Amino acid sequence: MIDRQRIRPTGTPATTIAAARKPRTRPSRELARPPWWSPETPHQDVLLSLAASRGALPWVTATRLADGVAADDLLRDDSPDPAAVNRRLSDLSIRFVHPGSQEWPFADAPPDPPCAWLFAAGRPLPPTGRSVAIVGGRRASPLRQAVAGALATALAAAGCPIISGGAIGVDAAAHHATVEAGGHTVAVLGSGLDVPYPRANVALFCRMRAGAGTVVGEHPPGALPRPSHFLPRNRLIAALSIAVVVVEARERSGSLATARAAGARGEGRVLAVPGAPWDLGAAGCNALIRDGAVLVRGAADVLAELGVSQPEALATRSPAEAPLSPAAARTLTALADGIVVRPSQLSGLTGLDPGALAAAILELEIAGLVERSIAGVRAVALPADSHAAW
Amino acid sequence: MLARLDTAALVGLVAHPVGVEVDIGRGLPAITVVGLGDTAVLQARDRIRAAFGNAGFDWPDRRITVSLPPSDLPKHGSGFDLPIAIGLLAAAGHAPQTALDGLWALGELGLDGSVRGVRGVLSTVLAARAAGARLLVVPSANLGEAALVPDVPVAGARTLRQVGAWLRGQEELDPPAPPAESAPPAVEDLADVRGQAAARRALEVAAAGGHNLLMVGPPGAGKTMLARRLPGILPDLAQDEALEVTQVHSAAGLLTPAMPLVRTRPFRAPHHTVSVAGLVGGGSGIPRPGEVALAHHGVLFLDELAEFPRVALEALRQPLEDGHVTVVRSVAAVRFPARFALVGAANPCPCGYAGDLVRACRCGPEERRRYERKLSGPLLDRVDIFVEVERVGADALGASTAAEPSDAVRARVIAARDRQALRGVLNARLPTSDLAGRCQADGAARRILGIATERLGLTARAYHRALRVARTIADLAGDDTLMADHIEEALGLRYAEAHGRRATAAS
Repeated sequence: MIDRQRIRPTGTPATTIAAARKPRTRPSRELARPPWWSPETPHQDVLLSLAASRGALPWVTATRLADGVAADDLLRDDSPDPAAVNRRLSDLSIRFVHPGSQEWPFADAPPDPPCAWLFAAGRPLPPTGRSVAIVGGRRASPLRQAVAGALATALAAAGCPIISGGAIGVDAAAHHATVEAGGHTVAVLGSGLDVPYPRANVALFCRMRAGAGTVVGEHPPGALPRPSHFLPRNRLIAALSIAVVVVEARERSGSLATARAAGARGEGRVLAVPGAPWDLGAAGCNALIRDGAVLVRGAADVLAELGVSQPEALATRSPAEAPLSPAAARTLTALADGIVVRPSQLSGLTGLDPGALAAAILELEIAGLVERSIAGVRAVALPADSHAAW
Repeated sequence: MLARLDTAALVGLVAHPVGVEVDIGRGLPAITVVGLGDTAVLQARDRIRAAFGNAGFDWPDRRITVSLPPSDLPKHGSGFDLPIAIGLLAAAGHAPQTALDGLWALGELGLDGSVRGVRGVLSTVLAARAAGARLLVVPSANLGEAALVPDVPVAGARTLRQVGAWLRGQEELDPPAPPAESAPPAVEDLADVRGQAAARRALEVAAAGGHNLLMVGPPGAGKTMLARRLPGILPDLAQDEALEVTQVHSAAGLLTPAMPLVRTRPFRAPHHTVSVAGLVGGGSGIPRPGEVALAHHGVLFLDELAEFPRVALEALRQPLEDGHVTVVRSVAAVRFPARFALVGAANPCPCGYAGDLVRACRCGPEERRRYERKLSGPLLDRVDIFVEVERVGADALGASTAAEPSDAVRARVIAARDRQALRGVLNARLPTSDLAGRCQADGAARRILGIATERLGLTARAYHRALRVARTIADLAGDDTLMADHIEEALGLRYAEAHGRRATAAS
């Protein structure tokens, strides 16, 4: 069980900061704020009251405001009728999801701060009951990306929808693996769904929208990604899932924010993949574990936490194609952190002379386990015989 | 009175014969020089006039016309001073015209009447030989260089007074001294390098096969030190190679009287702020040789490869492919020889500490990717060997056991090059069409090559490059057939563009 007091965010959520800065006093009732809301937004009163009232009108208004229409114009007689906006959304194959919709995911447990509406494309949003979020940084080492992929594959096979943020790095690895495994994956974007970000994953988003998953976000079409979008986005990832698995998190990273958001929710579970103390990509994970998050040694640990039985297929994974030579195995062990190591330093770590080391690296390269770059060598995949654990 | 003799104008490396015609006629005292001379040529008038006076000759106070046919060939430099002065001496009656028949001359005059050295003498001597000159008078400072070419009588002049006396048969010019057998300057030895087993090996393979090399390592690891030792493990310059190198250095004015013949392989290390003209040749007027030409038959070392401007690196493509470079300017198109071994050095990342377990790298992944992208591309397509240069620890630096000296390595390199000589071409320049025939591999080697090509996603170019390097490794080992070990080592020396491969694998 997680000690929620300790998982509670140490930093203040962005909206609280914004509220503190706000000069004028607001009614005390909790209002859903549009995602682009800031103290500088003109016509706050109009926006906030629109956002608070639920129904068709506010999202039409919100959409137009995001398109740059002045708030005053919205109240004129020639304001577009909701049907026109509806047509535009259907042209883009984007659904508007609000608390009245059937696929509204936050009926039981709204995110904090609350979310007024969602835009979605692709398959209907999965129920949150079995969904697992897999999160990690864009800069994650290839090895941790491989871990994210292996976890997603196993969890998808067990029937868990995989939620992530659609970014490069860990997010993309989790989405890709789920799509490959035939599971349902959900990408929560920080921009309009018709201008998805990052561009590198556009092909992935297209596959998801074409039926492999769901792309979702609280920003209307045309909304460009802004740095301020992504922290609020993370609370949706936490709210869309029953458990958040942190595969990679540096200190003060976005993944950590997602985990804290999940920990702050009543029923959210936080899990983390540990790492060596000197592995920068594990610093956040290790901190979470110290604060009470569940330590993940493999997919089985996640399934056990969810109370889901392990599918047959997982236990009987195909064995390694060919065993590694002792020198190669030793080299791979020295690269276990997933960080880049120079051959000369690897030579010192393994005790292999340069010739033998070069042969070992080539063997691992051919096996697809390591990758050479101008800076050195690093592990990029999990060795086949360790797959059973994942 | 009219006098006539010969000299030459340097265009690139080639000296073109130029006549010098001096006429003293009636008219107001004046001197004009016609025939497309540049400022230095036109200023010869003032130098000659002063030199005449200080050498004790009377200046003819009449109308003097100097023509330098062919008149449409641009001429530059100060080497026309001496031939014009000799023509003037003859035209003024200080010497008979017969003394000028078949005479070639070249040299700059000082105001005191001294004869100063000029650049491009070697090319002029070659032109004089081709024209069947009776005698070539050069500045005494250039005598050693001029005497390198057999079958051309040369003589050295120190002062204009001496030349005047010689024309009248009263004095002798300086005879060419027998070529001084001075020891070539000491080159840096590999015995001074501690550790660096991998880099030493890569250097040896690069030297043996004529491969281009990229060294990567943290700042201060010794990349420059290693590169400087590459000329020392290459075979000595053959006589004709030495002449080619000397000709380029002569045209650039880099020869010294003490070392008229360049006998050591050049090592050129231009700074990364070098201009394109400085790198491949150019400059105002007739192009001068650039760094690639000066590195001919030697080593061109580009430290901080990623800092070189893109245009400069692009300009290296022609010399790397063809072994020569053509510089086109409005006045002339000039071709310089430029067959060199390229050695590049780079930090592993912008801060230099990527992959270091001791010092943390401060670069972000995007920054590193940008850096790698900058390095890769057209130039790395021509780099066959990639090697890490490690930072050597204090214990290894203090070790008293000397490492293997350059001589021992050079012996192996020469043996490997002799094997290649039987095939007629260095491995680095083996044409793709010949590769299959020249690189017979045994079964195990073929299997490894097949697996590696598929699993490592080698491009056709990378595959051929690995074969060429493996061929060199086999030559070093004295094997005719490529074996698995050779292929494996060659694959370990290749440049792996990791990020590019991953990106395609992920999408």
